[in-house]
Amino acid sequence: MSARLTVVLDDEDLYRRLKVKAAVDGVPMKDLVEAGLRHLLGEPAKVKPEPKQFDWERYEALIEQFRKEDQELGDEASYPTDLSDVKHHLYGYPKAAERRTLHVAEDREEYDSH
Amino acid sequence: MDASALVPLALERDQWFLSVRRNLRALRESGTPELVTSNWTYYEALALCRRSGMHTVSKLRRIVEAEVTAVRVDEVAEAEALRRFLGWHDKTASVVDHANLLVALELGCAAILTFDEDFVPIANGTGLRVLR
Repeated sequence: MSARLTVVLDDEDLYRRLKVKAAVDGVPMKDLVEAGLRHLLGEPAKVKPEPKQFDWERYEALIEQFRKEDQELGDEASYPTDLSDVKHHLYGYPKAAERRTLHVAEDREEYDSH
Repeated sequence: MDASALVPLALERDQWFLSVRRNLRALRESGTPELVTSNWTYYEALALCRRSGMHTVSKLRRIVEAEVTAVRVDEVAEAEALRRFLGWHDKTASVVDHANLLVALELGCAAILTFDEDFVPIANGTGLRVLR
């Protein structure tokens, strides 16, 4: 169910800032107004940007563009191949492969009475 | 998506680049996927990319702007993520991992794409499939 509420804002700058925030967040202004009202009424905000649909061709075009940029910048080997190892590179844990080894070594074996 | 999947989505040299593509191809067979992450996770991935320079940061930013929705962690999810991080002593997931999972559950995501083994124990029992 929906309800209509028309509001004339006296503060033009408030309207402009709302419009900018909506553009930055990728949401309709209505969602931000609703979030503000929910906050005022003590309810948690429920602002979610519009989901994007994954476009394979667009993605492939970007990856191809990155290849060209890497060649131009001589950047092909500028980062480690395990940069996605978040816990190692960001939190200072041992590398993932080493953590797995440790985990296996710590696994409890079944009791064998023979 | 968690940061361990966001980074290889953008970086071809990463060890999981081909695995991400394999998963995306499989997802496309059952419809057009919508890729989402939390803003905290996105910032983690940006920090990782920063280690190898601003061009790498730029690659991730362009991929996320085009293909991934970064959803803000709200105060409720933040408080719950912190509670789980501090209380679940047998789990090694970070506060960001917990928050990302809570955002995925809130959005009704079908699966989590991750290459971080810490994610598996906290996703167990949530109904979310863990893709890797």
